[in-house]
Amino acid sequence: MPDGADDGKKSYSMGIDLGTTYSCVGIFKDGEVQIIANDQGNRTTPSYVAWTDKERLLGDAAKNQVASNPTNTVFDAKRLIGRTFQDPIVQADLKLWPFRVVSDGSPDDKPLIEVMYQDVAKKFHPEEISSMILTKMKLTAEAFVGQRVRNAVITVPAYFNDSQRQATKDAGEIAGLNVLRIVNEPTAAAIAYGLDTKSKEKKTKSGEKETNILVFDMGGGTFDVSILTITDTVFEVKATAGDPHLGGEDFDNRMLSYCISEFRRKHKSDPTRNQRAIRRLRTQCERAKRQLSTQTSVTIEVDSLHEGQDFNLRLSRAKFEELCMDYFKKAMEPVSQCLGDSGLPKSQISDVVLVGGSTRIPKVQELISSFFNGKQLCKEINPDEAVAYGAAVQAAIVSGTGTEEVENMLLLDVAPLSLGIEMAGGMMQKLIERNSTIPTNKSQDFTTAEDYQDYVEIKVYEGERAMVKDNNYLGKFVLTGIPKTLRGVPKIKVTFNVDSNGILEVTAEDMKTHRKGEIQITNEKGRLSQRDIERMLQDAEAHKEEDDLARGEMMARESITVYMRRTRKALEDIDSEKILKRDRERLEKKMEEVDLWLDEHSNKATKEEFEAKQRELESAMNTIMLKINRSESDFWEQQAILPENEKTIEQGGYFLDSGLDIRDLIEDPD
Amino acid sequence: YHPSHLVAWLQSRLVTIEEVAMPGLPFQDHYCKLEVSPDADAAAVRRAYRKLALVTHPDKPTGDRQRFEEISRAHEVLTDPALREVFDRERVQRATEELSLRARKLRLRPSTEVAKEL
Repeated sequence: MPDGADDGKKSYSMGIDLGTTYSCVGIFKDGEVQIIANDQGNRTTPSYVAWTDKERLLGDAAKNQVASNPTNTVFDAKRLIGRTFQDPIVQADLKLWPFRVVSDGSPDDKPLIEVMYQDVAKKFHPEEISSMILTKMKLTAEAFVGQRVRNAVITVPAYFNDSQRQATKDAGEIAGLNVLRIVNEPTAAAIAYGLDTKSKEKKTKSGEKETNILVFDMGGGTFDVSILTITDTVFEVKATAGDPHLGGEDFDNRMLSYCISEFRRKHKSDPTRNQRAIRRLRTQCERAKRQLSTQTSVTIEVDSLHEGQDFNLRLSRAKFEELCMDYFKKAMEPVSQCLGDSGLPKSQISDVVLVGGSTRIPKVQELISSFFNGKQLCKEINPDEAVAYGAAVQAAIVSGTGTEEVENMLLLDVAPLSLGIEMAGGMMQKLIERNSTIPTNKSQDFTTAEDYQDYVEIKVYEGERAMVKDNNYLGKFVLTGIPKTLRGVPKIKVTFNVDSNGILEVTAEDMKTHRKGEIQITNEKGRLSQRDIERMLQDAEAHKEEDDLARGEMMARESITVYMRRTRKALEDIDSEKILKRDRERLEKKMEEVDLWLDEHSNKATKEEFEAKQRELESAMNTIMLKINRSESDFWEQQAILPENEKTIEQGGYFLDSGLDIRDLIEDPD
Repeated sequence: YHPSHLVAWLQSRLVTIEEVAMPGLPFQDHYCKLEVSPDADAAAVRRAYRKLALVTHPDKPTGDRQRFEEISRAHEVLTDPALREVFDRERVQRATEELSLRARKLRLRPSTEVAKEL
């Protein structure tokens, strides 16, 4: 793999904020972070993937067609990733998604997303969906720097558990990325904040001043709170808490069900089964929610929503707040928990930094502010881009491609959840406490409980509860080949190793025989096997060819439509006296013909066919343009490039030497 | 029943025997690791930790994961008043124990030797 560095070119590393509803990519270039706009000119890209009859669509293209193709448009992969199908959260979300989610039927109970593509049902793991979005972000970055970019830092909610982190890393690998690091979103946002304030305070050299900040990160689907201590260049996470399933989408859903009940009440019919109607209504709810952050009331309007009935509803900000109040209140719990864990009093928090689109909601701001006794909140950093910004900085730190200032920075992050194993009686024996600085590793010795026991089963869990049944099961080990002896004699050392990504690795060793090789991972819940990842990587590569082809067609189609539009405009603008009626009609006829052809073929035609059509159109247009701009001197030159249907009379056409159409002279002698 | 039988019966699969702070490593003197004196205050400990973390964190070219983990453990203990007190007590105890062990060793003789004498 040419890494760029070999041929003297600088290789770049990007930071990707892989969001539930929107994603964003940044890159550290020329001494600063650039947030990169996608091909549509947007600095955030919807985390949407769609399959039409013909092609796969990503980002804006996928989201824009969602109403017409709801069952094959996939979003919210982040709410599925690293979870099992039977997970209560997945089961609850299922009812709201227009696309189909099924179980893979294996003991691992992984969820699969089912879509119809070219009349064949295709199933995808959430990791694959996320990998497609990552691919889109990668292409965006590559288009910007003009070279391949493979190294990436991907962000996850701080409160994501081990399976979710691992699955996100797998998604990166499927997208063909070299995942440098999985970074927590609030930590990344804190970097953006730190650099921002630092650049402002440059004159007043602060030296060894310790600043404590609280990052409140509420996005489309997840919610995190982190408390950090920033000292000069060191960003140290003190504590983190959150809810991996709370965000803007939940508010949309609340508004949606309210709208549905209102519709039911007014029209006595139920649109719940009408996927298209639900989708259209949801889009309007999302828009209304955004507007309510600046306006005190909005009207949600959808024409002919269901069974020909229009939907029309005036919604006040107060009503919206009432609908979502329990969510808003729920968001305050992690704030106090985090504060308690950090051991800092409220008064020691010098800044509360707001990140994520949902922090624009006035009620959310009001609740946080009053929690901190009316404190002014920090809204200086861009809530949509801060995470990608910080991720790009971290990418530069880890890969050593930043400036001196950046390379002097250090991020000390923590593990969000306690990790431990199951002990006799179903108790949780914690090896790593939550909020431990990572990387970390802890060992503990265990022994057998029965005489002549020659194997032990080690079940790994994460969570804070005393009993393992209340915590999240991660997987189990079986250590075999322990010499048969009396209970209590063997010594088995279990080591928990949490890397800088917050991902856990467990090893066990019999201290007498030093047997390690006997450890088998019989089940790692939610995780894809290496073989799965390789297969998906190949699938993705195959898809890429298809995509390249589709992209070519799409661009050709785009090009011809743009040309048509420009031609129409030009025809309107051109002085009618300068253009012959016959020419105008002929061109208009041609355009009508192409329009018809496009209607009929736009989904089937190849890139070459599109280009051929465009050439036909161009030649027709050129003829006119030539006539308009012609002067004596370049007449012959122009004659030479006249296409077949513009031949002179001598050549068997309708044109006089002067270029006039003989038919015009007969029919329209002006 | 001997009490140990009862314990074994209660704990059907695994029993803890002891917690090992660092695998295969002897007692760690956190003050040495952080290069601070035993009477250093919390602020001095934090300062020392940050200084060393900048050098030893695996993200840095000079990174050394094991050393980083040692200093973060030291920082964790020394910035928590309760943990620090326990550690200080243990540290003093270790020092005296080491002395007494050394003293006892002088009196220990191999059993074969004792048998011969008899």
